[in-house]
Amino acid sequence: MSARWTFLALGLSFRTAPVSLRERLAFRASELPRSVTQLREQCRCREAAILSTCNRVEFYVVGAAEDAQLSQKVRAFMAAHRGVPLEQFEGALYEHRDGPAVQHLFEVTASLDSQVLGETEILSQTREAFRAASEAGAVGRCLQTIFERAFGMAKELRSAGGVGQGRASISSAAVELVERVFDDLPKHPALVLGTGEMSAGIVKSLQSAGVTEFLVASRSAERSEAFARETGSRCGPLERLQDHLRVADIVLVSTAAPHYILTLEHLNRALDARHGRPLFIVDISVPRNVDPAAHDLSGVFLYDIDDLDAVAREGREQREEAASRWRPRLAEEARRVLNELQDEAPDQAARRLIEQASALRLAELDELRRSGTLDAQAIDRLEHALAHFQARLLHGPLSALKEAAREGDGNAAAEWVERLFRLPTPQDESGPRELGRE
Amino acid sequence: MSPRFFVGLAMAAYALGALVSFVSVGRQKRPSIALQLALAATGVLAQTIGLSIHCAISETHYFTSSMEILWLLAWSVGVNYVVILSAWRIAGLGALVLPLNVVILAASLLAQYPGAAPLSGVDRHPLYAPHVLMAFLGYGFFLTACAIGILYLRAEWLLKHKVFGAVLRGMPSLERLDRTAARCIWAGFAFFTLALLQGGYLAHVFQVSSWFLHPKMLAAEITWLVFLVSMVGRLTGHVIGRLAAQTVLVGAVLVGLTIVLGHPLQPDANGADPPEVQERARP
Repeated sequence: MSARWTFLALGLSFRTAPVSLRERLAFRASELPRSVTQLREQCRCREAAILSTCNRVEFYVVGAAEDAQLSQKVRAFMAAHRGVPLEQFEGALYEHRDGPAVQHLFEVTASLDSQVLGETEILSQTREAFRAASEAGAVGRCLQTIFERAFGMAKELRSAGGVGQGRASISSAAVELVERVFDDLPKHPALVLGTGEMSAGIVKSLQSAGVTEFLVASRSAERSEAFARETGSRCGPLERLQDHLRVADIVLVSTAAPHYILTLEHLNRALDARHGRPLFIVDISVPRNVDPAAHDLSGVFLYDIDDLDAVAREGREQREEAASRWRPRLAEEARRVLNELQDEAPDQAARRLIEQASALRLAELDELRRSGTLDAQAIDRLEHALAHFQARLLHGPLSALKEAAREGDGNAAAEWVERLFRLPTPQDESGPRELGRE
Repeated sequence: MSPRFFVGLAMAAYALGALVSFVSVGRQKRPSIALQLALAATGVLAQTIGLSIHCAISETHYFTSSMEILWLLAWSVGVNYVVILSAWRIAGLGALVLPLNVVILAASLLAQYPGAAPLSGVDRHPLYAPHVLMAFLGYGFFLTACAIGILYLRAEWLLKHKVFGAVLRGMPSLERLDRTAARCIWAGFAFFTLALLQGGYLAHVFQVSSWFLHPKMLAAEITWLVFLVSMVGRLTGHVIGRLAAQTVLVGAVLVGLTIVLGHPLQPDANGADPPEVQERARP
């Protein structure tokens, strides 16, 4: 593509680099504005942003098209700034230019390139990267337009695209199943048996979904208390399990016990006291801690880790299907945004051509006035004639630019006009400009 | 335009709604629900206009012919469906209720048009029309509760058999289905009780002997009892969930029986009033 500026996306992600490498190259949020400033200075680029999350480190840079070294400069910056030799991570780097680069940013922001497809965190992380770049004065019209469109597309995709639909993780799958049984989650207390890390994840997901009351019971009072503190739950003695089962509607079991903690006898007794209220049990222990036959009891819904995984797999497949529907749309939108941005090149070239011709004309007239060889009347006539001459002279190139823009070849025409008339490029005018806002 | 035109229009709207509902089963998306709602509301509106024209232009017995009964039943079910869908967004309900309405209306079009006949003894009484309306609103709520009960049993079966795909594609939660069915039963019970009281009063006025032992009245009384048991059972916590859904299904069968059986004050096949009514109508 013939362009006077280029948009470069360069980085590495969980797809290309292990966490051990990603963590060495990652940027802390607090250092982003300063790093972006340094990147612009060292790479002499017009605009820049750095996106650094636990899954990716990416540089989005707008530079001069003729700068063949742009990519190398960014790579060198990355190595120097993080103190990691380039050869250690060069193989993990990927690079996109112009349309594909814009599309990549759209996909990243819309969470189509995330480890968990459709997760929501990446959108706020991209917003944070954009905010840091703005703070550093490194956002110009290009990045502004591209990022804002990326946010818009991500929002549209989330609301209509189905990429956020379905549950893709084990803990969210548990929530999904709970929601198929109970409607008004704040009214349903949960009992947590066992204090594993996975339990904490599911408890947090249930809390996000609206469950407010949690009772933690474990053989170790210490662990129970620590877990309760971490998750904002209450502790209860495991000895009163039967009482807890009478009250709780949701039971999460995750202990290291090698036998059933909840037997059919426990559950039958509990059901008698529950007057038909359904009991939802998630048993993520391996070996299982709840008698699987409990699922056959009327009013009991028991799911183990395999069931949750099946739900999550279904959710992932649903999201992947939605993502594949959206990718072509994002690619098309990326092309459109880029064309919109690049279509301004002919206008800018025309403006600079007129400005340069006018400046030369006025300079000659000033010199004549200072020399005193012509009277004022003659200078007026000459001024009029030169203006007329300039208009007739530029009519050809300006019309050609307009025609080229109409035919979709505006960038190439702008480039030729700039070469023919030796017009200064924006970089010549201001070097690495202060591009807080154009 | 004749009432039949509007009934045909309603049938088309319900059929389209049913189609949308079938296509979008399991996809709890707003546009599909809104479309189902709009189509069902169109059907109800067309039916309301058709029924109004029918009542205005004919001096026939109010709602005693098969055709009229089926029209009113479909109207009542349609009204309930619109209310429930707009209030609680029970996705999938349209796939049961709207085809049912299409079948009812199709059957009504096959039935003989009652034609114009002067009001006879019973339907001249001012309490007769409210009695019929209350009874049919009750039937409508009970039948809608039955449809929700079927959805409940299906959702529970899917959860029990771990058929996650269908479960996850937008079935309402068991709790929501159970609660909505309970609301329908409460509303239906209130209308049906009023209808029974009015019917009893009419029987008393026309001095019908042993009216409460008439097959239709027996079926109605048992229906009333079944729903009473269901409600009391809910209040005490003994009839909820699957048992409640099964109870509603039994109630719905009785509702069907009640509708099908002839009314003790209904004119005979030749259009003649029963002896009690003739006696009372004599000057």
